[in-house]
Amino acid sequence: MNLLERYLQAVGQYLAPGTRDDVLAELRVNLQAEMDARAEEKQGPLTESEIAAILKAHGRPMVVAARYMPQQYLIGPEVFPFYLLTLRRTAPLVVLVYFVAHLAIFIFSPTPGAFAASLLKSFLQLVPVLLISWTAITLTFAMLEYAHKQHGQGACWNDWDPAKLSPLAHPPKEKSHASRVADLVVHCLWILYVFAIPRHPYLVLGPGALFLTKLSAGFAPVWRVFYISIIVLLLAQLVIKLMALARGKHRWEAPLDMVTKILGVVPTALLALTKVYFVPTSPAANLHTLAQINDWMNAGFRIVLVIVVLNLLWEFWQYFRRLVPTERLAF
Amino acid sequence: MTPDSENGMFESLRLELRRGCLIVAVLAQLRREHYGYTLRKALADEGLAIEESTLYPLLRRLETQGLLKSEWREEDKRNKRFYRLSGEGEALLAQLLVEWNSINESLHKILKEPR
Repeated sequence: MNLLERYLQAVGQYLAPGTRDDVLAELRVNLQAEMDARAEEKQGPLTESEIAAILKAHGRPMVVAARYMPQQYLIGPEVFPFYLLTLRRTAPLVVLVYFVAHLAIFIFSPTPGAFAASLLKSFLQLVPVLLISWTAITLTFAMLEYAHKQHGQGACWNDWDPAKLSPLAHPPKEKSHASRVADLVVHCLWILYVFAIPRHPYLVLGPGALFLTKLSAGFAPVWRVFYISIIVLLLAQLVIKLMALARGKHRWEAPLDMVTKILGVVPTALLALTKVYFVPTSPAANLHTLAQINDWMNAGFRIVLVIVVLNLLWEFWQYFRRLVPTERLAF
Repeated sequence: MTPDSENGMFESLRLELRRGCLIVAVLAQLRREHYGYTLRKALADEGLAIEESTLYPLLRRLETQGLLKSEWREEDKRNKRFYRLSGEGEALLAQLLVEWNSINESLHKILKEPR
């Protein structure tokens, strides 16, 4: 019986002081009755190992004690689906806002440093940010659960109006052949326009081209790299459009489109990270005005880069949502 | 589906199915007075074995909810806690049995329908 007392002592360690003695007394009687019945069946006293087997079957002391405790939960079954949904919906938003903020800091910082190092640092800092957001959401829902319990079975969780459901979503319409042809023609005209720019700078700068001549300034070398990358991008898009026109809609069309969009960020990033766009072409050039123009353009390109990256992230997110089955994504 | 996951799913659904039935069975069995061990034995004899670590805390919970009443009394030179259905418990058991019979009937009807 020493083993039984040790078992009861172990269970008692996890019980609430108010009910401990009562529960242990009842448990002792029940376990003793069980042991007596086994001994009667066996027609002899139980061995230590037989008693141990009965106690083991009854359960681990901590688990047994937990079953006597009042059922408590931080977030109950009624509130839990809303909690889970909120976690799933906010996680991508937190990640998006976090990376946009870090990107903006990187772009607008006077000393941006190495991109790879900044990216790695951002990834490492993301973990505590996510943990903090989850903690805040969990605490909020725990408080809601508490309020829900205190004020009875609040109907707010089930209060919804079927009439307010979103209208039925229609799958995106596939581009018609005529639309694809028109798209291709516009793209070709656009390429011709871009090809004409080096000989006719006013096509881009307008009256600004004259101002540039008066200022005795010319294009910096970065424009050459920018121009070549734009031409490569436009030609790649032309090939994709021609293939789409010849073969109709294919599963590779969307991923290729995404790749060209990602590559499209490169020329903008190139301009945003460069500081000199116009250089003096003669000693008479007004260097102060030129420096101011370069600064304004740099600020402008940095803002454009943030917008382009945001748009790319949004499109990437839309593309990713289409790829993952809804029941797995659940947001 | 692998046999392991199939067994796991069966076990999980079986437990779910039993959970509600056990409470009805315990309430029904306690129309007659029992203490923990004899109640478990009586249920097992009727083919409804219940783990001790599940039954004994359940008795306390049902008592807290006012469905059972209990008293400590000496029997065979041992102090035992005897449980019995309270008035409130009897009324609730009657309601649960109506519900149980209705579910049972519906299920029988569904199972009788030709496939």
